[in-house]
Amino acid sequence: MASRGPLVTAVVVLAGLVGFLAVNTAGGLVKTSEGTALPAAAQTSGQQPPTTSQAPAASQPPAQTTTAAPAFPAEVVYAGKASNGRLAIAVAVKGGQAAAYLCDGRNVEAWLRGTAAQGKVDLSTKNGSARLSAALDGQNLAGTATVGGREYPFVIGVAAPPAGLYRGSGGSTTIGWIVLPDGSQVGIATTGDSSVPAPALDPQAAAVTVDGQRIDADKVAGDATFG
Amino acid sequence: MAAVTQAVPVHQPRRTNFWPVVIALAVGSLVSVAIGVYGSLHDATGQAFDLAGFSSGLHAKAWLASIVFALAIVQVISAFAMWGKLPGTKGGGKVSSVLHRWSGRLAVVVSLPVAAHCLYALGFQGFDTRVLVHSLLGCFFYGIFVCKMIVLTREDAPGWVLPVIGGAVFTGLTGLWLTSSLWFFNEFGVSF
Repeated sequence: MASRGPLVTAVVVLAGLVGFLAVNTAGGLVKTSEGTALPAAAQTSGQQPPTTSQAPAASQPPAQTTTAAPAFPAEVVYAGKASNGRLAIAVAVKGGQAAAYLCDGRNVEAWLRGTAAQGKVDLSTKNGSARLSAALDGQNLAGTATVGGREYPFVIGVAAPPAGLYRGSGGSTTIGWIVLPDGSQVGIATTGDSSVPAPALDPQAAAVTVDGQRIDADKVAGDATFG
Repeated sequence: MAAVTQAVPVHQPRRTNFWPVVIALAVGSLVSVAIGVYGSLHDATGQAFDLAGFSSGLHAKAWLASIVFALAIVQVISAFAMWGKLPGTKGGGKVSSVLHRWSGRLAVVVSLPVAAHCLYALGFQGFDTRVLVHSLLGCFFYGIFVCKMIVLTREDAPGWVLPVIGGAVFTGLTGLWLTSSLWFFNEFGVSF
């Protein structure tokens, strides 16, 4: 066996690892516009919510200011209800993109698209009629949605499958469903100008039948685009 | 049995010197510890790894790591062939040793951006068993790899050392792949 080859390999490997880390530090391989972390830990090690602080800003231990900004998991869906009304809200985040659906199950609905970075999301509909902006608060997403001229503040939690956001379209009908963590659903089926409450969706079957036509319900992820 | 006098060829070393192995293990341990210390002290940034053709950083890493794992299997097979343990091989062949060396080099080089991202953006984590095992194995893997490289430069190490270290390298990498790529494909489906 060669007596020098392996040593060269070892040196190249270690130099390579150090090199990649240096490149990262200089902003090479990693991009600053996206957030990625393992789904079960959205925070880095310093982010423990203080349990006894009265003035959150003042009593944060100095170590907190040096930890990294909060980051979304690589792919996650938050779902829940607004604090002040019957509006259901679902926000899907994937990589640096976000998609959201607002729905009251009767006649208010909006599909929004936007971005997710450093623990914050910003979304709006194509014509700007509805907006949503929120930030990570621990494991939850907290913010405000504006639709139909009203503001809806919310704090919603992670929706583990089968809860989440679903969308299906067939013929001229588009249906949106928000399946909440407690199993209840809020959705609207829109055909042309008319909106009716969506038929109940079995997330396992992932499809419904409307007027004899089968419509598949697709899970909506953060990078979805709405025709 | 009558004792047989063996003619010992001049170039054959005494295979009983374990000290070089101890030194190799020590150097490897330093590497492992250094990686662990960096992973723990460095503030994880949570930033994304961007590689063209993949839908996200985690997808890129999961696939790159799978390439490394596939090459590691080539490593095991070629090692068997080098030692004549593979049916149809006699051992000492040139093809198997060239294949072994270069598949190994390629594997470890492809693993570097994955490891660098893991260390830089995620750091040493222990919030659940899978992540803790992955963090520990990540440190272990590069240490035992460097150890193997050093042992390879010596001809007087006991004969069992290289297969054991090689096996440890492969086992470490397998554990790393199971706690990352396999978990990822399980959770999020196999996709690019």
